[in-house]
Amino acid sequence: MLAALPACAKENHNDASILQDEPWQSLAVVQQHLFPQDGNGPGAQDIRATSYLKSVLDAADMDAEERDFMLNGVDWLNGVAQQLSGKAFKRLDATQAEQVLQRIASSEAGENWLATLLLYIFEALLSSPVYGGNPDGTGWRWLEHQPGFPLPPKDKAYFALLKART
Amino acid sequence: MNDFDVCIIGSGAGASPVAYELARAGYDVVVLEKGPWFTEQDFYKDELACCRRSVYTPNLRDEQHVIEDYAGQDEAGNYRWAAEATSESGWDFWNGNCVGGSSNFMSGYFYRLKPKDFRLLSEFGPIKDANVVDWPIAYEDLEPYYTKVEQVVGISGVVTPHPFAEPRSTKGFPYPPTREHPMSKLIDKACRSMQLHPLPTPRAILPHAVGQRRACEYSGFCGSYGCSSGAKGSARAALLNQAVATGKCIIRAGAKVNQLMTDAKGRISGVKYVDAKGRTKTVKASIYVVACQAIETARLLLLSTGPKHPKGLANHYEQVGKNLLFSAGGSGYGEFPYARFGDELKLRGPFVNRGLQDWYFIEDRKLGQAKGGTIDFLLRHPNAISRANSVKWDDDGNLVWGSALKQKLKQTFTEAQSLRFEVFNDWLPTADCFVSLDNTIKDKWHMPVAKIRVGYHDHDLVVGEYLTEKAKAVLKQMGAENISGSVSGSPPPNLVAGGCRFGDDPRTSVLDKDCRAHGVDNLFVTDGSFMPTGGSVPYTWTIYANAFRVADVIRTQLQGREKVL
Repeated sequence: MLAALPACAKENHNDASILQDEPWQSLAVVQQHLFPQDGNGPGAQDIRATSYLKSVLDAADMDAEERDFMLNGVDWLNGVAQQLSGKAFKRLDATQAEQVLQRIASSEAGENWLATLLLYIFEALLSSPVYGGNPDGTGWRWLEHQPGFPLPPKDKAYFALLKART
Repeated sequence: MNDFDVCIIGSGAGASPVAYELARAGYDVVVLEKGPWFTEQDFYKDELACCRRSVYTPNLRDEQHVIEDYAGQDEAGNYRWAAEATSESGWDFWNGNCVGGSSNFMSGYFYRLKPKDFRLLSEFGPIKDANVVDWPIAYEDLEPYYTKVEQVVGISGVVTPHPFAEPRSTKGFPYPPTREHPMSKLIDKACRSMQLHPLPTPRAILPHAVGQRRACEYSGFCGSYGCSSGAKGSARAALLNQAVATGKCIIRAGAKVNQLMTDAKGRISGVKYVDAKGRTKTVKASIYVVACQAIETARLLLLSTGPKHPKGLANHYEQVGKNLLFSAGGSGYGEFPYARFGDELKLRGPFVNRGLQDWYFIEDRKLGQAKGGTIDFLLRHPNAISRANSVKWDDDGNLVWGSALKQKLKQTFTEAQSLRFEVFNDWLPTADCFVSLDNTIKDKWHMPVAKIRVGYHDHDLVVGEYLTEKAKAVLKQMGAENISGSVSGSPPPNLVAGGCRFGDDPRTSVLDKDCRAHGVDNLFVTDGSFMPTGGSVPYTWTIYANAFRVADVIRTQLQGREKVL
């Protein structure tokens, strides 16, 4: 059934172009730690989690407060990384990175930040490929999830439908 | 001079039968719907559109509610209530704001009420601190309209003998049942071994094509999703499309009504609305019908003050918004590992379609003779993102990530099928559950939003617990693992009624038995607001049936009047 995915799923949504800039570079490193390529299904890179996150935060319906919270969280992350290891987060090894994320998770705001990053990783893993994540249904295949049909074509993606409301 | 014979505000299950019947009878009807007009060409199986973005419901920054929830007692023992805006809490009380309303997104589990539901006070006596009353009509008054809904909206199912089966004027359903999941047989086997009566759940879903509506395509994504085939009996697909096809019904989408205007005598003189381009418009009609779903209907009446209605329309005795109802009960599930039960349980598409009403009325040592309710069985909702998102917490409430998270995801998604149950029992009407206007927060049209106090009666939890234990026993008999269930007094926003109860006494009700506002002879309310008690089933079939009944009353009232055009 996955052969019936919309054509735009094949478009190139490679993370590479945005990964050269901050805060996306740091966010990508966090996402890869949260959802690693560990031999058990796709990792964050495989599902284009960073470009997906960028598209969500750039979307017209995104709450400005949430966008600021997610982007400003990177400064906070690097502050904790500097404090614990004297380096920016993206330069830490896996053990150090884990320590920093555990420290972040110990505050309510920090836990919210990580929980929200995980939510958007799940969206990149399991939403329709029309949104740029889940290339070729890789997330669905891994979790043996049978998507419903018909899947949305690009001109019926949620942001197109939102225009009817606004 | 009026513009239309009938002006209907709202376009869901309460509105559409009136539009359908009166347009077909040759009257000129306008339907004012604040949301957009989506069709089958806009509905896809897209979890983001359906359930994670504000596509079918308003953005809470634009339109919201204020919820007053129970917050303990003061030293004198009085209840305290804490108010919080839904834009802050994220607790969304919208259910589908577009042409056809929330019926576009229902699951279509359709049950009739039973004769005793119409006389709860007489049958079971008063309950302290609950405003239980008998209805001003009997089951027999509504039965022909339940039947009409089966035929016109389209209900599929099979009639089976049952100790509490309600009387029917026709032998069977007009449409055969939809296809069933292998889980249904496991339920039947367990129930029969327990001397129970598993009921095939009637569904407002067409198993084969009818007119412009295609057959169910068994995508497995039904509830919460708009129907891509038109098989689901939404107000839009089943009724409004046909009303429009008569040439006598106009639907104005994006039309937000902010006030019903009244004349010196207290009758409605017109409706003021803001159109999609922000222009203020007025419509005049002979008859006005309000059907915006219970909360917004009460809000609109409260907002519509006038010289004869200083406290809000039809609110002389301050009954508007009172005795709001949700559906009480709980839910739970059990797991069926594929290793034990076989891969056939992985099947997606066909429906479980099973319910139990063996305890619709209870005779129990502890509860005595009491009103019970309905248990429905269904597969776990197929939404994958929300399921994954629930996996990210461990049992101690800490976030899980990394390889541990991925293992947990893999296990959760691939090792077992989950069968859920939902319990529906009466949400007793009380003085602690009502709609009023908030005096601080306004919507994007600068109108006060509805404030909803959501207190419940402790009796609701007792009955809910009773039924939940029965449901868990069935899962146990089926051999399920990790069985759990919980009961809550938290209101399900998608199961809402009451607030403008009908009755014979204007001092204790808003509407007369024909759902005409007491003292305002050109105003009718046809959504679920009229219900003084809710019964123990989802409301939609009853809302449809009652709206067909009231449509007949309106037609009679219109007869003999000079037509508008």
